[in-house]
Amino acid sequence: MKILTKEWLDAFGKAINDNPAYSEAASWWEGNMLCVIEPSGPLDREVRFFLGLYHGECTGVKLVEEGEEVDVEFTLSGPYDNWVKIAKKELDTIQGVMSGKLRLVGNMAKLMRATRAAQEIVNSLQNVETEFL
Amino acid sequence: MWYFFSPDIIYGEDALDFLENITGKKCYIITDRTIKELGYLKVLTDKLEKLGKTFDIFNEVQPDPREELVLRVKHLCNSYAPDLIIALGGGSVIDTAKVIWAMYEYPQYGIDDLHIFNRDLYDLGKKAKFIAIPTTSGTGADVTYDAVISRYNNGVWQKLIQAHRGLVPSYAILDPIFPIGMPPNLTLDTGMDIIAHAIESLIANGKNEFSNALATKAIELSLKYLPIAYKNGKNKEARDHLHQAATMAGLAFGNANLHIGHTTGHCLGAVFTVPHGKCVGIMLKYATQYCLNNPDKDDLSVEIYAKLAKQLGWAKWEDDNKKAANLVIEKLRELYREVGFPEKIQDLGISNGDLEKNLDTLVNLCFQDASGSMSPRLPSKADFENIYRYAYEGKDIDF
Ligand SMILES: [Fe+2]
Repeated sequence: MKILTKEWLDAFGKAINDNPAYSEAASWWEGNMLCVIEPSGPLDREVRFFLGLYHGECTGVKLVEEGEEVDVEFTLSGPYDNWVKIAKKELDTIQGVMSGKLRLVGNMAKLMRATRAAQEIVNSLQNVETEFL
Repeated sequence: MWYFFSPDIIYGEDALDFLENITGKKCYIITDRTIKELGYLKVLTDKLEKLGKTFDIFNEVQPDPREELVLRVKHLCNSYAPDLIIALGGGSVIDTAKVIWAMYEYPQYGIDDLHIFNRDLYDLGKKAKFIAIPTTSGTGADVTYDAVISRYNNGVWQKLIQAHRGLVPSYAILDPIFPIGMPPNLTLDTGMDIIAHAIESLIANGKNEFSNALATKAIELSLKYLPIAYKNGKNKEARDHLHQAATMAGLAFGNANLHIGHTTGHCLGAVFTVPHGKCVGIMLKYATQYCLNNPDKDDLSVEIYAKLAKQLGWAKWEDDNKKAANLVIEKLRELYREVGFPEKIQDLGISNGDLEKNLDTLVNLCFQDASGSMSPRLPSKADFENIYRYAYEGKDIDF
């Protein structure tokens, strides 16, 4: 599936829910997230998607249109190339944030408690057949 | 791009004399009452007086420093307007001082501004240099870049981990005159913390060639000198080397991270109120065994620990890696027995019923501990439970 398409995003949401390690690690988590993929490398426009995350479940996914407002607790942004590194597990999400390769807006203290949960989201992605750009 | 952050390090006997070479006349000293009562504060202030430096002192830092206290010190420090900020003490004192240093440079800041995305923090030290002088050998706080501050929030005490590489002190002064007074039990617990930092950092997910080199040396030094310093606290050579090992291990884990030995140890300590070094010292063996059993064929833990065993001469270079890696466990066992360190949770006087009753809470906390995700093998809920159960009984991890 081509990355950042609706089909791919639906599969991503399903993969999170099919990953029991995510539901264990994030059973306490409440906080929706917006991922902002900025143009870089082969991506020439900004893509944003929403992940609904509540008590160990992915409650919904959605590609967010330009100009559309979404209510989220966390926004994680960065260039496409860095997101690809995370998706391929060449870069750890938290290390990515710590080194400034990704930027986070939201409560840092809460995020620091969710490092394992974040990792399980990325692990879930390994089960989605992804065709990169 | 990756990086390795470190203060300038001055070590060995009379290291304190180096203060002479650090410019700045007005010093703000942050410490605690114990340090004052032990006479260590006087050692420092005598030296400063001799060098013609002036100083003001805050000696009320408490263990697990709270936000209100930190903000009070911020106010005092800012009114004194020092050229140097000096932390003399253990982890809590140094953590408090890190935060004060940053908020002295940027008086408009509160605790929440000290986060990893704040690029201004790379630029600390224009108003004052920050000197960390550890009085115990263990935490590595003198070289790490995070500060743990407690905040009361919605009825519970929350530990805020404020981390930024800019918070690494300007200087770490490792003078063995301070740890030489540590009582044997504290020497042992903090010494086990050093070993846990070094051994865990070798396979943690931020591992790199700089951190590996320092971790390896820290393991060599602490295995050799911890038993000596424990049995004879006045042995200067042992104290000096253990003090250096603590800082090396601090540099290693500060740059490479820690993982599930500390995760399970932190949570055990929080739930049953057991000292940090005791908990991580016990959990280290089980966490290491769990990682050595990783079914993921791409994982390098066995290779890394085998290399350690070979480098330190415990195994021959031609030995089988799995066998060599297991010598790390054997070395830990030997050490525990030599110094009489508890090998299982049961030895802490916790009943099996109490452990079982708290297992859910423990595992939930483990999932929320930042170090938990830095492991090469990520435990499931059942794995965490079984690690605790095995560690309770003292059983080797066989899963
Ligand atoms: Fe530690």
